Amino acid sequence: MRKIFSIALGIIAAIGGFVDIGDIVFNVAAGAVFGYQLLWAVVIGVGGIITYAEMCGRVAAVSEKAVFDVVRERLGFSVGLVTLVAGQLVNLLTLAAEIGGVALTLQFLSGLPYRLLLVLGVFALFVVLWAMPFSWIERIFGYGGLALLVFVVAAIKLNPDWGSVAHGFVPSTGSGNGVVYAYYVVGLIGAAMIPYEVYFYSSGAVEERWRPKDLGINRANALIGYALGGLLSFALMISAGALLLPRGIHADLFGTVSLVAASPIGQLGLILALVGTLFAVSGAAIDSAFSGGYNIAQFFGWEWGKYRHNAGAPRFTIAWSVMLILAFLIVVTGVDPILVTEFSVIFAVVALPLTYLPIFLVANDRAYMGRYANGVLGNIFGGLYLVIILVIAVVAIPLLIASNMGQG
Amino acid sequence: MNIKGEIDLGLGVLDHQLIDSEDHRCGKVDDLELEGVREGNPRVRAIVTGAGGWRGRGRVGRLLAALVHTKTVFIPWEEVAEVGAEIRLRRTAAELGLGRGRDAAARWVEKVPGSSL
Amino acid sequence: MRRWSLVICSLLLSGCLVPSEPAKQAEEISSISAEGALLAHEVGERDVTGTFARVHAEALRTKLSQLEPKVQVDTLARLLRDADAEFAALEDESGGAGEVERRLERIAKQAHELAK
Repeated sequence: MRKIFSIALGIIAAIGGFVDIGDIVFNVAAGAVFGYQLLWAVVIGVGGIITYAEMCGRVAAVSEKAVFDVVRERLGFSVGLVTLVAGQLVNLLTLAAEIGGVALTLQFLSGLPYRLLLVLGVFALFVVLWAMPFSWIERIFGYGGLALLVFVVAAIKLNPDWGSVAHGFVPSTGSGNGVVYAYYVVGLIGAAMIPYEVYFYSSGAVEERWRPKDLGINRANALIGYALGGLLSFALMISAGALLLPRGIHADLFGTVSLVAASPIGQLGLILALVGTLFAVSGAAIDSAFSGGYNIAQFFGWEWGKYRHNAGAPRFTIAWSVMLILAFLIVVTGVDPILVTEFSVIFAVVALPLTYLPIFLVANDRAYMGRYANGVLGNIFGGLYLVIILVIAVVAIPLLIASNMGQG
Repeated sequence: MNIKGEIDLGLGVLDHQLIDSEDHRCGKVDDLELEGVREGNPRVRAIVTGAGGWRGRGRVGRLLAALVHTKTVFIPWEEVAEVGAEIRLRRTAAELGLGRGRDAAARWVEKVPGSSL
Repeated sequence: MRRWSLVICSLLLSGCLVPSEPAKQAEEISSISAEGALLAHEVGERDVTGTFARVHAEALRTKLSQLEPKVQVDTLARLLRDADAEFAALEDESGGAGEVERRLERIAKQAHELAK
């Protein structure tokens, strides 16, 4: 019974943790511009995060090491440090984007000024990170994020042409501007594979003292949780495609997302969309702040962990606090959080190979993993995604520039 | 491969986690100090942690050591209790001179209410 | 508030995201107006809260004002001003939502035609 409960909680956390501001922005924008044509890119992204997370969880359970322990051991000090710096910059941008998203959502709910809400939001996040027991965090933000299921209802009620939707799951070169299309492919895969989720997952596995007997949970968590999270991404893209594309509405404002739920469902749809977004994005902020702490603590060998009370892991605590403050300073300048979101996803794509490769190498290493090393299937998927990740890492920034950030 | 690399390959020590006798994490093996190399009988004299350790790890290490002045601590090899996935030490971090950074950080963290929640 | 947004946005975006070609500008105006029309429709149907409508209308209006300094073509500039007036009406809830919706739809269509 406890095992089923544990799996269920993990799945819910995975759903809530999957959708963050990057997914919201890219899926709705892609739907508004290309309709249902990019659904296949989301499938690739979901497959990628499942593969990556499963390997990280397995490495954590068998070697009892989290991502940045593995990075340093496998890549060495110099390359490992460069990876750490790149990873932290991406975490910082992600955190800044999520904080901006929290403030924007609160603005739609309360009408209070954006900057005031930034301050209130960061303060509230700090209190949660500092004082709230981790099990509460997982539950509250995970369940709250489920309100985003309203977009599944919206997608159905908007009565899309399901034939075209089905077509969208087949990879194609799409109609319209090819460079913009490619940019969205990269962005959608990147948004699904954004790395803080994997750092957080792997660190959690070490802290929970997962052992090989827990690998069943690991796989169930990864597969079901992220697949359901992918369902939410589909719903966002389909409803955006059904409502916005016919009207020629580009989706580069945050409010447009909730409008998509309001139109077919009404005020309840709007409120659920806003509340769901608030919890999903806050949860993502919490995860990425902790990840910032985990990464540096793991690299340098400091005490770390969400279960150790703050004074028990002081450098870890200072690390995530500093990340929170720096992220706040980025968004308080008034920079558009949607802009920060796009940069955070694209830079995450560029840095992705640096953390994926050592995990893939260790997952294959029988000295570390014994009989739990990658099997044939694991290596087919693991290797395939290594290639995909390398390709998108190389083309990401050229596409960002050539497509004018997706504006064409 | 140089001598240090060969020794490390046998030991699996470099860049691994240090754990003290109270099960606390206390840094990583940043570098190794060798002896007996010229005599053809190389062995590890001490584990090096801190900025001094980083300096021996290439350009990036030297840059970091120049920017961040953490104390260099030498841990004599005799202090190592067990070499496994982690390097277990015989004594506590405080006794070995590690954990000064941790203590400095703790002084700040303890000022905020609720730090032992 | 609007002036501050304008200053900050111009500083930070440095014109890199504000389209400078008339065709793209027309598409932008069409998109913003179409979204305004949708918003007005939702206001009429009571599908959105007053707070949401106000905040979102202001955001759309800010986007229009970012475009304004870059629009050179007269017809586009006129459409932009008309749209802005409709958003103002939406923001302070003067004028029927239905009327605002119809007028914004018309502006969106005209801008879309100009884009071709």
